[in-house]
Amino acid sequence: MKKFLPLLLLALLLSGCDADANNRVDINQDAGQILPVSALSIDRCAGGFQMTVESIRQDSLDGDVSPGYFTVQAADFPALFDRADELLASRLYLSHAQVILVSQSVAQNDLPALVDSLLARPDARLTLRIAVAQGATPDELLRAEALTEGIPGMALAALLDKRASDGSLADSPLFRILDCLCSGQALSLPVLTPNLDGHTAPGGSLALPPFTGGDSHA
Amino acid sequence: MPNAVFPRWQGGFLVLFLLAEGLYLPATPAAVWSLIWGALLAALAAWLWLQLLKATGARDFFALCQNHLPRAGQYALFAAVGLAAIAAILQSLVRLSAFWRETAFPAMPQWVSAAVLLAVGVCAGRRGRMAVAMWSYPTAFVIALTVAASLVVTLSDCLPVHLLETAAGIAPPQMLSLRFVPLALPLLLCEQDRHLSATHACVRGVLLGGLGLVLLSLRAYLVLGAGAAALPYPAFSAAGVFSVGDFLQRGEVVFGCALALCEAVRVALLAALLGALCGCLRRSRGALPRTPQTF
Repeated sequence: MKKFLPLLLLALLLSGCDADANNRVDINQDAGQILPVSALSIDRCAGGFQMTVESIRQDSLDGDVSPGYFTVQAADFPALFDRADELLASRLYLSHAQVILVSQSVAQNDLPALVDSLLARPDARLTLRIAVAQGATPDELLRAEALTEGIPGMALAALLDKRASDGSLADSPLFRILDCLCSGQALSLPVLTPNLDGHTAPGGSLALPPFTGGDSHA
Repeated sequence: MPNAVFPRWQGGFLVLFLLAEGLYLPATPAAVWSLIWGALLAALAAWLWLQLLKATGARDFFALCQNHLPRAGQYALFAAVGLAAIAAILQSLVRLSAFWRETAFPAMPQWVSAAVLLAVGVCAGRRGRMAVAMWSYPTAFVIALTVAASLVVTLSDCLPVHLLETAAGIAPPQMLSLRFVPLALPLLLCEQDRHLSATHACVRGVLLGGLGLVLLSLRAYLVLGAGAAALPYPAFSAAGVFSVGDFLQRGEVVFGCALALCEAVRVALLAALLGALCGCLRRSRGALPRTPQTF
């Protein structure tokens, strides 16, 4: 039996069970709680950038969830995430985030910096999609009521996923964008616009020329 | 044949030893080709080593040394091998604990994860090469299945254009991967006799392990393309692009655990090698009865 004790210890550590289960969140997240994020929107503003965070709130023990929104401003992308953490006395948890809506200005000028700041976060997934908002600000599109039930950001992600699979919108997960940036290729991002009812709808694709300085990612 | 380390077991631990490199592979066309050439050369080296044992009539490395080297030469060689094994253990501890810190356990001190890996490896390795080899065989199947499943589910995310780039970027055989150099250490644990040749199983194990590394590196490049160079662990990251909605995510965790288990087996094998070296030294000083030296 003694021979299996080290394996047992390793299994416990890998599964996140240690002496104080609540301590793991404190240690790993440097904060009392984590805030699951479903979507983000990023736009330029007078002070640099403005980010709206759509978080997931569990309203009942039955598993019902609803979105919550808050907005932060900062001079650059890393500072945006830091500011959000400070505001919450918590830490954003991007593992569930599936889409980032950005303005056309951010897409055309700041995409490499945004990708870099996302790669610096181990919880950001490479399948996270980036889409461009046109006809309304990214914040307005993110907060627009979803046609289907559920959280608007997750409905947008499902829409982008479906339209990318049928080819009517550009496929833009983070790892494809990173590939284009590192290889100096042009890329396309899906565009979302408000329709007549105020809901968010597909609006084609935005072609972006190759970014100069793409080697900095390699 | 109660004391035989069966050839398939030896092939199994060679596969696992090589797959322990899987988490840290670069993903470029040049890296893929260097792994291909390295795997072929490693298989050739394994074949030559076992042919040497067969030609000299020695059961294993230790018997070969005791039969053909003076005592001073044995001490010097064993010391060199022991230092190389310790360096390889340290390499495993440093790189896997750094990987855990970067990915799963950012707040855990690196020495804690290194100590856990060392404890697991040493405890398993203390049971000797027989026990490690015996458990390696079924473990190799489980890990091969996990890696194969990970490769299959990401097929739809692979870009054919990157395959063409890889094929076009064929590098000459001098572009060898140094990742196969530590394989010399577990080869010293291989043994055979005239009734039970291990040559085919060991060469097959090296080729399968090398094939696994090539496929992991190739998959990472096909999925991530040039972006792989911007990621610290592209083979691990490429395993994570598969997801089904918001539920079946983080498949790279299972993949990472499987390769972390390979790293534990690697440490166990190296600990077993150190134990075998110490045992051989003790026997050569007459503290223990000598084992048969030839087959």
